[in-house]
Amino acid sequence: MIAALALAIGVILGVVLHPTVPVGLQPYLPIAVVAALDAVFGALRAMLDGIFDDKVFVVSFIANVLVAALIVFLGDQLGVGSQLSTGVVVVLGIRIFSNAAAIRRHLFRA
Amino acid sequence: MSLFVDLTTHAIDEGYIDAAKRRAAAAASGEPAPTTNLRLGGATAVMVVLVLALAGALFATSAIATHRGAAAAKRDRRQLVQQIDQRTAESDQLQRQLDSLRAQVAAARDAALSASDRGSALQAQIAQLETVGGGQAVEGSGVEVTLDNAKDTSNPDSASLGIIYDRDIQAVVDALFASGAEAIAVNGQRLTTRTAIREAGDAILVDYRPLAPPYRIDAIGPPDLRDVFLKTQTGTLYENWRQVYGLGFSVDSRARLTLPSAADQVVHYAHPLESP
Repeated sequence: MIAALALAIGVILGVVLHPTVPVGLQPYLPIAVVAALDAVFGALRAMLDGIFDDKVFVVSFIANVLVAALIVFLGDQLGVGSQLSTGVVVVLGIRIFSNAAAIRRHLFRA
Repeated sequence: MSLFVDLTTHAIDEGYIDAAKRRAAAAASGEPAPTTNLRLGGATAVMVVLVLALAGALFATSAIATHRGAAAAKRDRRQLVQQIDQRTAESDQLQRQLDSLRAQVAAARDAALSASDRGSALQAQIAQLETVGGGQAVEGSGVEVTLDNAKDTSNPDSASLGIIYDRDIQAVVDALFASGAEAIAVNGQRLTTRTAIREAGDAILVDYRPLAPPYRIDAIGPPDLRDVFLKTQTGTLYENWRQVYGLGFSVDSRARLTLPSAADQVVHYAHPLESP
C-alpha cells in the first residue's frame, strides 16, 4: 500500500516537475527504466513470496539501474552500444516476464 | 540454453533468498528476527519509499520525454513540408511572372525588329536560337517516356533495383537526344544545356526542382524517334528491367507535344564573340 503510494507520488512528481534529462544521459534513460521495472517486479514477487527485504530492494534497485547504464555506456565507448542495449533489454525482459508469471501464480493461483 | 534456464529459474534476486535464509538462521538461534516487511519508521523503509518514488519519477520522465520527442519530430516535419509547399508555390508564382515579362520583352523586341529588313533577319535568327536553346515554348510530334518505381518492392533483394534514380532519367534523356530528339522536358521542366538532373536525399531534382514519380519525359523529335530510342542500348535495357524488376517504363508516340520554355536562361559569364 505504502509502496504503491510512493510509486504514484513519484509518477505525479515526474509529471508535474517534468525534469529535463541532460542530453548526455538520454540514451541511458530507457535502459534505466527497464532495470527499474525489473527491480520493482522482483520486489513485488519477493513480497508475495514473503521474503521481501528492504535493504536488498534498495541496493538491488540502485545497482541494477547503475550497472545497466554502465554496460550501455561501456558499449557506447566500444562501439557496440546498441547491441549491448539489446542484450540488457533481453535479459531483463526475460526476468521481468518470469517474475510477472510468479506474481500471477500468487495472485490467481493459476 | 543454460543461460535462459538460469534466467527463468533465478528470476528473483538471490539477495532476497539469502536474506530470508539469514533471518531463518537468526530465528533458529533465538536472536530477535530483523524486520522483514515494509513498515513506517525504519531507516531502510524510508529508503524503499524514496527509491520507489524515484522509480515512479523515472517512468514518468521517460514517458514524457518519449512523447515530447515524437511530437516535436512530427511538428518539425509538418513545418518543413509546409515551408516546402509554400516556397514551391512562391517559386511557381515568380516563374509565371517571369514568363509573362519575357513574353512582353519578346513582343517589344519583335515590334522593334520587324521595322527593318535587317531586323527581320535577326528576328528569325533569334527565334531559331531560342528554340534550340530552350528559351521558347515549342510544340511538335515526339514520344512520351514514362518511368516509375516498381509497384512491388516487397522483395528486399530487388527492391532497390525497382526504384528510379537520377541516373535512370539521365540515361533515358541521353538516349533520347542520341536518337534525334530536339527538345526534352522532364515532368514539365524543359532541359537546356545547363539543366542538372541530380538526386538530393530521396528526391530527384531537375533544374533544382524536386520531382515526384512517375517521371514523364516528353521529347520532340523525328517521326521514328520511338523506334530508334527503343533500339538503343538504354531502350532495350529498360525494357528488360521492366520485365525483370517490374519497373514502370513505357514509350508512347505522341502526335502533338507542347514543351514549356526553360526556367533559367540567364548567362552571367559567357559573352558572344565581338565579330563572328
